[in-house]
Amino acid sequence: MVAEARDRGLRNFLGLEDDAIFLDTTLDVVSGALSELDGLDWDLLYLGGAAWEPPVEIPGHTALQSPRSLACTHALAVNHTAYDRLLAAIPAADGIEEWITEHAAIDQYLFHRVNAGYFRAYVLNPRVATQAELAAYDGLDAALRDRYTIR
Amino acid sequence: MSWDRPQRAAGIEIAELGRGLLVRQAEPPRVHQLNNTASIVLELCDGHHTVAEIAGALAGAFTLDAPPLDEAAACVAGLRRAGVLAGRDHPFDFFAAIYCLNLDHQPDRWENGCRRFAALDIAARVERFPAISTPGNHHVGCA
Repeated sequence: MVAEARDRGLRNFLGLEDDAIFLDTTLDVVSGALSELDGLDWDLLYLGGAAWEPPVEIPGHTALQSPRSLACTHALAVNHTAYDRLLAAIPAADGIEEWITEHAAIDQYLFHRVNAGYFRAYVLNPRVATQAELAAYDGLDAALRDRYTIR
Repeated sequence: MSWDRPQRAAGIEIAELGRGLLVRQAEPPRVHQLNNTASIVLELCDGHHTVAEIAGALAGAFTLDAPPLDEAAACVAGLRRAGVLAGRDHPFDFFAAIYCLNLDHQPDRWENGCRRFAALDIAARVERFPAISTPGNHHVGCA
């Protein structure tokens, strides 16, 4: 996806997994978050994710937070500013098996890189996308499980 | 929800041909000859029908078992790219492209995804991206 986005000259893209489900107010939340994103430098924008630690509030912002220990990539937007770094770090399909052996999964790689500040990342508040198993798991997206009605 | 009820662009002229519509747009100056399917889609792009409803109408017109959501969405996207349909104010327009990762052997998951995308009114914009099937490691192709 990243390579194609770069080759197409896209300024950014949103990648979704086919089992992503969505909050009832997704469009309103995304609209507000994008207004807050205006003027910020960003590499990754998580519309959802498994937050193993609570995201950090950003002063003056309500629809955007700073992720901590955020896993999963079922709804992740990537800005052009991250293309080269991602492509340098992650091999193409024919080399991915070995890379996965070392890094476990792409979401785990990003989890650590975001925590280390290598990518400038934000996560929507509330997270508008989840997966059925995350919505069922207490401590992750269970608090809003009844509102993920676009499923 | 009214985020994506596609609507014809202002200033286009439509004429009926034997097998479809002829669309003339002033800016940029172009003429489009639409086939039957695209003509039906364009006629329903009146700002009142969603892409899913348009797909349902196509299913009725062509006696299909299921609404051809993919085809309807692709047709709407094509008409929009051609400038025949008006732009829209949708928050997901911020994203230059929207991909959905899906394994080739899981068309059911893609179909379910399309239903959700239609509910968000982004079905016309989502491009399926084939995932890598690696049965030995479920992480690959999932993330």
